[in-house]
Amino acid sequence: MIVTHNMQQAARVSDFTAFMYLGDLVEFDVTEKIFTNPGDKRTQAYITGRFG
Amino acid sequence: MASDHILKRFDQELERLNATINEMGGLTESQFAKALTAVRERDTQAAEEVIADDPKVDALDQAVQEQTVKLLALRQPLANDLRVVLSSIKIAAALERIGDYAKNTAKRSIVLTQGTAPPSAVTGIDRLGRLVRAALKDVLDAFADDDVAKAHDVWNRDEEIDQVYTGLFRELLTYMMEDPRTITACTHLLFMAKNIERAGDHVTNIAELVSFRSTGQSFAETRRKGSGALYATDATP
Repeated sequence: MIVTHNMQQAARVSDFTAFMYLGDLVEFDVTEKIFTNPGDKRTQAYITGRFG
Repeated sequence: MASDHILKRFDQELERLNATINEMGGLTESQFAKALTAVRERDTQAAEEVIADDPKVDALDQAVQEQTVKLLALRQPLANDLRVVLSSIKIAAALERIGDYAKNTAKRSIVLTQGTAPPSAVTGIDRLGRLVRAALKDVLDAFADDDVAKAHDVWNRDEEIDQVYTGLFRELLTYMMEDPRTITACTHLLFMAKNIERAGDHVTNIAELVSFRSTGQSFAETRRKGSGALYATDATP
């Protein structure tokens, strides 16, 4: 398991990705889903560079 | 949570991409409408304007390609942003094809002014064209308003367009069998009908892309194709 803020690295090395925000697990899914069509608005906002 | 990107330039570039597609959509719509006028009114000047303005549509398609390449290279868009960028390339390509079909229809309309086209067949072309024109207008509105329900409505209307095309195809065959002197004109009308029907298919593709960019999904259900009867071996009337 790796913990990173680097989106390219996370997408490149992992099979599954979890997005955590302020200590809470927001979303966990297969990496492809997280980076193409995430289920949670906060995940989407984070990975597309809208905050963080 | 803010809907804007931390990097303001990214937002500006995405907005500019949308604006380019909207401009391209408006131009394609007016080209298509003018091509139909050229057929209906036997208006050679309108036809020549359509042909002369086609490079403008191509130039906007080129602008979309350049903007998307820049966005991919410099901003690495993900999730909804990635879908917006990818669908923009495909929507621009579809609009460019529709523009080409309008140009082709305009070219053939000039030839038609010298021949003996059956008036009711020309009316049939106009009817088919109006259906596609309305669908094109609605899908562009759906794109501008990010309205998936409206896009789905446009997607459903393709069946009617295919049926009208099939009817027109049979009608034109009948005219040619009745009076061989109409073959030249009717062949041009047949190609026009095919071009307009293909433009309708591209409109349907744009409707799917409006859904994809918004939700990540296309319209999944299978739709019965209205033109299936054309390819049956006993289709000739």
